[in-house]
This record gives sequence, C-alpha cells and structure tokens, in this order.
Amino acid sequence: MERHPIDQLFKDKLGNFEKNPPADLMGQIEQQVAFRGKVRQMNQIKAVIGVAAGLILIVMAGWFSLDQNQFSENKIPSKNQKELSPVLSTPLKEATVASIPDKLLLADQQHRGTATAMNRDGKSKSVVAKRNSAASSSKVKEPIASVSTGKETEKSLPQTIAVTKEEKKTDINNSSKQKKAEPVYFADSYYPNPAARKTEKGSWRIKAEVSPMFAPQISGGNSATKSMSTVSGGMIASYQLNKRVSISTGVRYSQMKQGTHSAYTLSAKSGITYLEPVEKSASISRDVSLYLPSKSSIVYSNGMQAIANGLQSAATNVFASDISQDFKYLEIPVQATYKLIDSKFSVGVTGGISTNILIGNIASITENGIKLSQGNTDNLRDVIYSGSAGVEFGYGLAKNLVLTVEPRLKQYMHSVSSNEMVNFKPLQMGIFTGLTFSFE
Amino acid sequence: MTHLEDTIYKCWESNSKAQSELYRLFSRKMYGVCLRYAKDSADAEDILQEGFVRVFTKIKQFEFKGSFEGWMRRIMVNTALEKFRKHDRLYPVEEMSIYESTEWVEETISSITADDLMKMIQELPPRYRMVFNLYAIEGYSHLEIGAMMNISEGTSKSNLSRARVILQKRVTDNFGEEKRIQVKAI
Repeated sequence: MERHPIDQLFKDKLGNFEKNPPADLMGQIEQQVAFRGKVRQMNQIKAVIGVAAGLILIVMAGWFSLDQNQFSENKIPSKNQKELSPVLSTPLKEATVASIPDKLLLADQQHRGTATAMNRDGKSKSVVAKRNSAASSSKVKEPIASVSTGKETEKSLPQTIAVTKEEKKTDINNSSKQKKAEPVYFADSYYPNPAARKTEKGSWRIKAEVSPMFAPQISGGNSATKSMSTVSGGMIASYQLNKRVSISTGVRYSQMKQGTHSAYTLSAKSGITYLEPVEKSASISRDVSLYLPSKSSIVYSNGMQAIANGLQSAATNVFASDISQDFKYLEIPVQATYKLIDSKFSVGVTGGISTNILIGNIASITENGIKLSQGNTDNLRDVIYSGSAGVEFGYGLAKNLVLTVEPRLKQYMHSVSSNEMVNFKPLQMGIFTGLTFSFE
Repeated sequence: MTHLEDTIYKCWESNSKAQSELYRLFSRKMYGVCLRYAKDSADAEDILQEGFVRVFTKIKQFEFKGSFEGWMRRIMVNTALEKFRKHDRLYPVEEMSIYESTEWVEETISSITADDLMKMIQELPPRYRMVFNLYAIEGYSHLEIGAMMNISEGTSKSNLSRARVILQKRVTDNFGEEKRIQVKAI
C-alpha cells in the first residue's frame, strides 16, 4: 500500500532523528535509579517484616489454642464425675500404680483437686488452699474423710492430702469396675495458671512490637518546624540470662518526619529548576536539595504563578511554602531488661543502645495538596546511634504468650546530620505494644 | 559477547559505568524519539529520564530476543503514552472521512529540515500527535493503536486524518508550492 505523502515526509525526516539531550540528564537519571532502588529495598524489608510478624502471630495463636484445648480436654473432669473425688478412685491398673512413685501420685492428686475446684467454681486456686477451705464445707468433707481414714497416714503431710499405699490398693480395687482408664498426670505437665511458670534461665523469647512515635522536640533549631507522628515496629529476640535479667536484639523499622513553613528560592541552573531554602544549612529543615525534573512539570499554585512567570527573566525567585522531611531508619537494638515483678502481671525496666541505618531520605514541597518538588535532606549520616529506656508491663495471656506494653524514650546520641552547623539530636517517645512468645 | 551485550550484563548488576555507557550509546536516538512524542524539549527530557530509569530498573527483562534498541524504543514510547494517558486523557475528537493530500515538488521537500517538522509535530494536539507518531513513523496498525491508547480503531483513523490535515496545512503555509488532490481516507 502506498504511503501517504505526509506520512512519508515525516517518516523520512524524523524516523532516525537524533539529538543530544541536556548534559546533566544522566545525573538526574542516576539519582532516580538510586532512589527507586532504596524504595524497592524498603518495600522488600517491609514485606519480610510483615510476613515474619504474621507467621509469628499464627504460631503464637496456634500454641495458645493448643494450650487451651489441652487444658479443657484433659484437665477438667466431666460433670458426671463426682466432685472432688479422690485421685485413687480412678481406674488405674494395679501394676501401673505400683510403678508410679508416691510423690507423683501425690502431685497427680494435687492437680486433680485443683482441676475439680476450677470446674466447680470457675476459678483457679491452689490445691492446698482449696483443700483447707474445703475442710469447713460439708460437701467436700465426706470424700476427703474417706481418703484419710487409712491406717498408715503419713503424718508429715497435711492430713487432707495424705495418701497411703494401702489406700491406693483399696481404691484401685474399688475402681476396677470402671472400664476406661483416665490418663495419669505428672507433676511437670500441668499449669492451670498460664503465667504461673516463672521466667527460666536460658530460655529464648521472640517479640513482635509496634508503636506510634512522637517527637516532642524535633525542630533542630527552627521554630517553624513541627514534628509529625510516625510508626515504629519490628521483631526482637531475647535470651534469659537469669531469673530477672534478659538481653535482646533484633530489627526494628523507625521513622522521623517533620514539616517546616519557610522561604524557598526557585532558581534555574543549566536548564534545570531547583527549589532551595533561602538560608541553606541554618538548620536541618533548610539543609535540603530539591529538584524538579523539568520546569514544565511544575504545577504552580495561584500564589506561585507570578513568580514562575518571572523565572523566564529573573535568575532566582523567593516564595514561602511547606517542606516535608522524612527520615527512615532500620534499627538494630541491643538492650537489657530487668524484671522487677515476675508473675502473671510482670513489670520490668529496659534500656539499651541501637544502631540506626538510614534507609530512606525524602524531602518534598507540597502546595495545595500537589507535590511540587522532591529531593533529599543533605548531609544525613548513614549510621547513627541512639539510646533508649522504658518500662515494660507484661500480662500472661497463656503459658507461652505475654502481652506487653512499654512506654519508651529514644534519644539520638549525636546529630543525625554531618553538617557542622546542624546539631539535631531528636528525642522520640513511643508506647510499644507487643506479643512475646517464649520457647521452652 | 559483543560490547553491547557486555554492557547490558553489567547493567544487570547496577554498574553505574555500564549505565553511563548505555546512555551514551542510545541517548541521542532515544531523545529523538521522545521529542516526537512531546510537546516541547522539557517534556521530552521528562520522558527520556523516566524512560531510562525504567530501562535500568527493568533491564533484566530484556531476553536478548530481537534488537535492544527496539526494546528501548518501545519503553520510551510506552512512557510517553503513559504520560499522555495521565495528563491528556480527554481531548475532543473530530470525525473526518475525507481529507486532502498533497504532493510537493522536490525542492520544497529538501528545504524542510527535521527541526521544522519536529516543531510541527510537537504543536499537534496530544492525541493527534500520539496517533500520527504511532501510525506514520512507528508503523503500528490502527487496531494496535486503539489497544495502546484505549480508543476505538475508528477514532484512531479519524485522529490520524485530522493530524495529517493539520500537518499538511502547516507544511504548505510554511513551504509554499504544492498541488492538491482529494483522496478517500484509508
């Protein structure tokens, strides 16, 4: 098919048209590639943390559920069973019982007593307390009396829970009519109170935590700067050194964000338009480099339009606008916790230092909701150190699961900027909420 | 392994020297492509910058099947189309079934420079510019253009016709001699 002459003319003249782009365009491309690489890295880290946190929560939920099922299926007798029935009325075979040490049988009895009490009252109480209180109750007096009428009662034990070998045999014979045997409970396998087990030396724990972060004073020398709340969170693994002291480390994402209303210069250099703070380097909110891909991409607000038109002739223009600065860090903490109270409800003090690796640095000017320009805060250190201190409150949800709430202060130990004129050591505060899972 | 292949493999590892080399090899040609799809040089720089960023971040997707230049050119065209879709989605379309075609004398054609034609093409309304570029210079069919720009085949044809009329008028106004003929639209 014959080509249209207009098509032919343009194809011939422009089909292989070449022209040199501006000399500094490659620099801008490199900046963009590096920036997107960091964003992609950040997204990957977020995804990994998210998946890890999700898996941990699933595992924790699984353990919690398993623990509860075990508790309800095995430890609480059915309603058909006689309340506070003596342990030796269970249909254990003689040979089995003979092989069980007295101590374990005693422990078994303790467990059953507690379980029965829980079933009846819906409360968790220790067996001794239960039995002591039961002494005054006519309902529970009878079965206990039947147990304690044996000839060889061990006087060193409280009468109500003493069990003799002869009684064992008697009860076994009496119960032999029952066909089904109940499982035997051993001393170390049953904890009706989820937080009754104390923290043990040498155990490992893993914690997922998250917190809103506030910065009471973040301005870095500029009164027009306002801090913005951010979010911090991560995964922490800890090792119990002894009953009270544990050390921990892990990875945590943290962020600082601030906004400043200030004067900026719109300037053109080598065909590229820049937005620069008027007093560059006076504070961190002014130590920024903002660039525009091209002048044509500026979406001017009404207030800026006149200035922008003037740009054609003037070298620089000044206008006031809001700059937003966002610093993102990957934090690797090393901290210690000292437990003041170690029970179902626990209290501990925490403190430590963190290495903060800069993973995100974005500065942007937004006007009327439209982002005019984007760039970086200059001279930010790639690695900075911070100290933190807090008070950790814990509540045992299950045998291996503790809910924690920890108000924590974080103070950067040196300026986040390497610029000598900028002394910016932010203080942040957060209330970290977390779930801690303990490994046996 | 050719120099280009070696450079591409190095770009896989985000080697900045290799990226600069790739830019040096193709930036002139690609800037030419971008200028045709842009309304001015600043717009073309934006497309070129975004296009090269995509080339460097997606270079592992190039499977050495076909020409690398063609692959890069498609990225630039797609970047321009994306920019068009973001900013110039709505533009009035005038239906035309008849257009005027022109045959110019040789002297007229030789006196027209590429820069002159570039200016004319950049001054076209965005959608006409896109369709004209894709059809007349890149060689896409109206069906393909319709799919790329999310318009109907008929709309693509009418846009092309309108673009031709505008360009023809500008060439005639600026470079004179011609003989007019009336033809049916393709």
